[in-house]
Amino acid sequence: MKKYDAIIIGGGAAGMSATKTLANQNKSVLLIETEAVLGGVLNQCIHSGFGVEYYQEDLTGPTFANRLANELKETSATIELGSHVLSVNEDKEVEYTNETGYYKVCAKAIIFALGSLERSAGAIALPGKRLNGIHTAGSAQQYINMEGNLVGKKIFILGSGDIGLIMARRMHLEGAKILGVAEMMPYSNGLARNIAQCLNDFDIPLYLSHVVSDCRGDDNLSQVEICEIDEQFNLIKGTEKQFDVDTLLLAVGLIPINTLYKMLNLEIDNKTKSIKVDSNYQTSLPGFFSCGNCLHVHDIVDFAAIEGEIAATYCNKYILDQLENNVDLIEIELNENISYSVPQYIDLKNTLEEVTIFFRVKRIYKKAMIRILFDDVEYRKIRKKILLPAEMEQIKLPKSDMEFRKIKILVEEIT
Amino acid sequence: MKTKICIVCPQGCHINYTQKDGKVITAEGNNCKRGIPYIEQELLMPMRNLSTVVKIKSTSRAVCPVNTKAPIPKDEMNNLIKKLDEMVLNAPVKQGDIVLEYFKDAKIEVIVSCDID
Repeated sequence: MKKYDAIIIGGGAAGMSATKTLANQNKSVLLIETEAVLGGVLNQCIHSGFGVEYYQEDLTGPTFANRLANELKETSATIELGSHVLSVNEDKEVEYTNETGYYKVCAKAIIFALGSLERSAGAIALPGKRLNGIHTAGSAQQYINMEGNLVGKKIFILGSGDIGLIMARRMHLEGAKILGVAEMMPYSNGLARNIAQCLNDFDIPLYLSHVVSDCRGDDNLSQVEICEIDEQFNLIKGTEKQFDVDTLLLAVGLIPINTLYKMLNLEIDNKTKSIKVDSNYQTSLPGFFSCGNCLHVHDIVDFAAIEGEIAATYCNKYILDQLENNVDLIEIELNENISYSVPQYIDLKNTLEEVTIFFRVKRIYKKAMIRILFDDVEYRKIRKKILLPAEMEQIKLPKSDMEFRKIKILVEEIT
Repeated sequence: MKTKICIVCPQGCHINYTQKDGKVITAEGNNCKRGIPYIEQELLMPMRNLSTVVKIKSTSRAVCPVNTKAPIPKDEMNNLIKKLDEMVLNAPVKQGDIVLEYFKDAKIEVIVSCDID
């Protein structure tokens, strides 16, 4: 059986950056990607806004992927495209297949960089019939940007996350009419600049605190009905509005892909719907690492790529037997205003220079304070004008400051 | 006082400003200095990046992603998309290859976003 230092599963931004990092440390690496090209979702995200953190340059998605893939091709990494992973076991054996056959390989370490999937009509229990013309925003994006096919002419969009907003602009520019975007929450889940340049620029209405209450048609969608909801998410009768459309796009969030985690019984975080990792990006099983959207959903690709680098750096230590494994992990405690953090644990002993903690707040907080407590004593506080669930916050803790048995992060509204 | 959302970076600052003859007099809410030139450009002529796809003769792909090299006048976006819709590229193409170039209030340059064989 062919043995590598590391096998990376998934060739999107996180997986490519992890592979590059390890290959540059002279490790033998196998990268397995299911699509025929590297890049993952970046290939269909043709808009710009990527790379500002990772490349200090504003790039389109395909350009970011292209650059990272070209950097990767200059390394000694083995890249298997069009290859589907069938199983991963605790002995770090990986089975995969592709056009040329079935393979079983093994490694000293495994990095999961599987990405995420879109929530579907079933996942959100979308009311009304399941008709032709109801697509996820990402699949419509793939049709138009990868295949050149516009899925409809009169479109309504459910969900105001970035994918929903960007698809509103994209379909509008391709000549479709966007009748509106409905958002369940009283605020948008997308970046403010996407509200400005994707909706406001083209006078596309945004209906906050609205849900789709019915989808009508025979075989094909012909009408979408939306309805306002109250604070308890109950429909407010009499506020229904009807839109005659041929297409409904669902931009209702992403969920980390967890199929391979399930084979390994890794410790799960119910908040991220993925697995728990420590500050080395190592999972509850030694030698198994994770990074990117299969760990938690990022707003910006740069952070997924940076996470890939961090995971690969500690994975390299593991391969070299320099990562001490019997250390006490300290769980990061969060107050009730924070929905999750990644990593979930801190490993004080193995940290190289610093630990970056990513977290999201549960709702909008205007004028808030982020406080970090070490052993119940305030270590740092950061005043924020606004905190949004759509925007991931990050805190950097230098190794030299980290002496504690307990760490807690609090978000408090200032009145 | 008016408000604009700055689109220069992902922070998306809500900038409250007053202006006279296209010059910003007072501004608050911008976390960096790039906010003021952004507003003045918006008042003069809004500029945007445009990404779209162009048909390509290739064995691997039906369309090729392309993007403007620099922001272009917002009013020119529809016109540019129409021009690009009529074009057909031939593979192979490399990221950065120029697809289309013309002048309309500002120089408009469209380039290939990624290599296609």
